[in-house]
Amino acid sequence: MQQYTKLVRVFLIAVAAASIFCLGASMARADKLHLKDGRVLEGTVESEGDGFMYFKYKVGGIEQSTLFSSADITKLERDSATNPVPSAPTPGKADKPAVTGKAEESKPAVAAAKPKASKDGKRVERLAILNFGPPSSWGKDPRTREVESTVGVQISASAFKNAIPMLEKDGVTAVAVRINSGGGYLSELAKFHEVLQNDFKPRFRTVGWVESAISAAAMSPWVLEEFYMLPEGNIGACTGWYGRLQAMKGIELEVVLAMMEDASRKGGRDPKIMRSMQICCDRGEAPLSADIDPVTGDVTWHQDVSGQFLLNPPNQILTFTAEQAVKFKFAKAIAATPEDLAHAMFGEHAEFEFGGKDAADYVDSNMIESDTAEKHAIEVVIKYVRRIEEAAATQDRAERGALVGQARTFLHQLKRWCEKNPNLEQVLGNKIGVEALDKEWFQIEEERLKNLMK
Amino acid sequence: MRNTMRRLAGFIAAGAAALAATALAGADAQSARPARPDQPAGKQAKLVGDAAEAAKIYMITFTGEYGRDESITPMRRVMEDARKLQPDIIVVKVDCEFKKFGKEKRDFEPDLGSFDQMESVRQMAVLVTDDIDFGAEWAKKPRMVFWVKKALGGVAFLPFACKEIYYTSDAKHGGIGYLDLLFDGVGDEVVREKQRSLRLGRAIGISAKGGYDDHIIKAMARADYVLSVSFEGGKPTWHEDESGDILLTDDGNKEAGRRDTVEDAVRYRGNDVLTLDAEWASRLGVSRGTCNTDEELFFALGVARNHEVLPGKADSILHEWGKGVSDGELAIKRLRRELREVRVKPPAEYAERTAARGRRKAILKQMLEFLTRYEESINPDAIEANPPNLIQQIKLQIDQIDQEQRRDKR
Repeated sequence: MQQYTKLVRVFLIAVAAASIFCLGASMARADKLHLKDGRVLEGTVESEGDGFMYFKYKVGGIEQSTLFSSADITKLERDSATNPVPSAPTPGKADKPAVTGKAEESKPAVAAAKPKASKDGKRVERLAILNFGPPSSWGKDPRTREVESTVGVQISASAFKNAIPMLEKDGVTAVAVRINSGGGYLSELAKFHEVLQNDFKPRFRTVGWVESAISAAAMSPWVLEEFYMLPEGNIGACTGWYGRLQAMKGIELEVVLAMMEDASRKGGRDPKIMRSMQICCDRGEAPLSADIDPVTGDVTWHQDVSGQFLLNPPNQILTFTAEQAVKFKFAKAIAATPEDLAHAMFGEHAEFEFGGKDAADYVDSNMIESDTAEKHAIEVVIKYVRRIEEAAATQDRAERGALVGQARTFLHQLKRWCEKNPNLEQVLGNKIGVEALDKEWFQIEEERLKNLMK
Repeated sequence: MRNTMRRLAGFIAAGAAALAATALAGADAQSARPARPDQPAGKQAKLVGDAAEAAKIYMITFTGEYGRDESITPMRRVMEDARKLQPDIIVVKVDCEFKKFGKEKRDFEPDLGSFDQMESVRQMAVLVTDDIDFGAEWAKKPRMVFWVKKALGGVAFLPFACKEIYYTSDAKHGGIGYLDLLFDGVGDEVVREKQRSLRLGRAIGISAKGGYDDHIIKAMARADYVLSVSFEGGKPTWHEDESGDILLTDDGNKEAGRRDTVEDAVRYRGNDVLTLDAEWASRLGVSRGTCNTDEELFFALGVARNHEVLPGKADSILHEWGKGVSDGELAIKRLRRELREVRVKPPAEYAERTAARGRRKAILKQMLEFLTRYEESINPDAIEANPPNLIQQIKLQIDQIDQEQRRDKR
């Protein structure tokens, strides 16, 4: 390894670190929201649900996001490129779009998948289930038992994005993101928010289905409006930390808190819930209690202990159980199997089928291969360096050629891993002591191999 | 109740040292393993009543150290064996030693590390719940029953995955307490609370599969959790304060003198955390009944008059696995010693150098075989290495030997 460090020092490349908290590109065009009080606001629809909408607009140059109910709104003119109409209806409102304006004013940039109809003309939904982390059932297979579930390593937003064409080709209308992960890198959150919000939600009815969503695994899909829980499901414990249990603090903490407030708005839920999952104790208290309206069943959240039900005491961090999640309307239902999930999503008598196998296989294989990469990168790099050293010391050209060939195989292995999951450029780079295994690094190494044969 | 946790911890540490000394004075502590109450070849079939109508029962006994003697690979084999025999009922009797990595704990001690076995429990829970309930391979869906005698530490979570739990009259179920002290003194409190929260969330998740109330798991896990109970029509109603008729757990506040004393702890009279026994498991609605013999259990299951205990291989599969792990650990230690002792024989020519490399490579391959076969159960202390790291090192050593051989000239 020492020899390798010497080698890589020579080729150390300074790469500007990507911004961890990138929240997506700014919008060049705008939606127009016509209010009953006569105002017309220009901005963007952040999220919308049945009877409400979060609309982001600027006042005096300062951007703000405000909740409007359908009673406040006369019309919405959508900018088709930045804010297509949500594609899939949620349960019970198949024929009733949320606050979306008139159909002719709302042309989606991305054509939403249209469910096919059965022989009797009924709508047939096609549901794909994509694993966000290995389900516990993988444990019984020796090949997948040890696959880790780190967001940003095994679980990557790029894999989800790459799966979209496969889902579309297969005619999928709805996607369940099945979550089982203990968390990972905060740097992946913004990428997932963007992919799920801008790529998935306009195309498919996209829901979270939770086995265990801890930390970054809870925060990444937080922009989804719909969640379902497995009976053993749990979601929360989102405190950011590093090193020996050191908490994020200062501006970095505030950035993540703000990011998750934004994600809460996009998901149409009260930001107090996520805040209670993120901070307590020496970082400020965020207890959580709630009232349930006995008539309407509506839940009102309190960031204190004044509510009828105490969900999180002041000195603790919130993790929802499945029962709590449903009782307090964070989740829509508990579903133990894909069939249960489909029934909960589409209704007991709805027609559905499962699809998206290629996409699901792709996401799974990406997870497995990234896991292999993380665990074996050092081994591959050491073997690579050994072949280079041996080749450099070999006079016999044929023998040298064979060794360079072996070295190239190892280099290509690293390259393949990084191409398939771009996050690995940095993850593997960190493992072997370089900034990133990026294109430039590979070019330099390819050059080195060529030179060895001169 | 006025003594501090420090006294308790000191007492526990002294006792543990004494126990360790006793173990070292005896036989090889790593390989010592209590005999299973079965025949290695498998259970003898036993029929009571009419064979055609008899309820078929498949028995599994967890003994030894959970995570070592019972882990996912042998348990998968056990469930495959069970499936072939198509039982009506599968009974898992849990009578494990309270141990981790060979280190024994006394029954009244908490094991903060028990939550680290959560992943293995979650994976194993799938085998005894979802696979049966939803898997097409199980054409006939048996009742899954846990029968608890001693389930302390990580294994304590597993029975909660199933809807039917029975207890022996001397049962102890718990040993997962003081989660609120996990990582005490390390880092920031908010992060420690996050770590506790996620572990408790996952533990409650397992118990939710079996339909148990989350109050019970919280009271078993956190010393600062206050729970009292009242009974209405025999059913418990929970109070997260002291307002119920019976205080199950107080807040264990050390400063206020409410932390359990040593005297209380060793007599199982403490109330910092809940440890279920037969009586309380029954009163709190966890236990379906108290049974001390197979016959009593079959009676409680409603099959006393007509049942057949199937000749399953469960106990022999688990026994062979545990023995394999112990043998493997000893073999790895021996092979590491042998590896160090490999010398190039005189005159140290090409042939001798090649022979020495061949011997080293053969030893490394043997080590690799043991490590990969038993990785999930091997005790790192027993082989003085972390198994995944050692596997990687061995692969690189083999590569290096090949490289040396290529470079070597006659």
